Amino acid sequence: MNWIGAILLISACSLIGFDHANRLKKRPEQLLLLKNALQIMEAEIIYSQFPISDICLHIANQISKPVDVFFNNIGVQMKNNNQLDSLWKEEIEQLDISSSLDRKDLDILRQFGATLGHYDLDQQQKQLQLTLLHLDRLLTEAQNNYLLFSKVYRGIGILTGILLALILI
Amino acid sequence: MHQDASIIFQIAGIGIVVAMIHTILKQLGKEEYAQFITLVGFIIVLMMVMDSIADLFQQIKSVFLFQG
Repeated sequence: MNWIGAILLISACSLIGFDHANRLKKRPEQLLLLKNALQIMEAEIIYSQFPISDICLHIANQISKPVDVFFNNIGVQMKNNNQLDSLWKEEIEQLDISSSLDRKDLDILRQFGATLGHYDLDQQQKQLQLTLLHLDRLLTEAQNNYLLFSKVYRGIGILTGILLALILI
Repeated sequence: MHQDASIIFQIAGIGIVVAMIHTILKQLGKEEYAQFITLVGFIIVLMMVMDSIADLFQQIKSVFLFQG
């Protein structure tokens, strides 16, 4: 019985560690997806000049999970409800749950959403460039964090499990 | 006496694991967490051997003060 408990404890702690490491690994990937999505949006706004709901649906078709769900929901819901501001905020809350993105990343996205649709083409492009710049900075930070901390989280997870098992035996 | 041997191994294991965590955290530059983990490990081990230490003091008292 003792041994079963010890094994369960160690595996649970290891899994928590691996989960944290996995989240660190996914964050740069998802930031890159977000960047791609915004680049597509820039091209669509400047060259094809579709309505924003169509643009969101186009982006959702071209990009993979979990960022596509964000744009898809906005695109679909904008057909009935024209309040982009509140819609964008609600969907960011959803994205917070479904993705590995940080508060900081989502804050930048939220700020960008607040500017969307208030300016002319030039100003909008400048806002997009600014957002992309911010995302670039966060992307390098996320990659550095991944390299630094992923092994540490795994190691500490396993070691904490062993430590707890030893204390309790 | 049998129990004493197992507690020694247990404490040795805790010591090794705490030392490893300390090293990892120190490499990462989180010195304060490393110190904290070591302190926690020390306290846990101290609580484990508290009974034995109390026994030891009792023995010493009974030898030198002719009590109990």
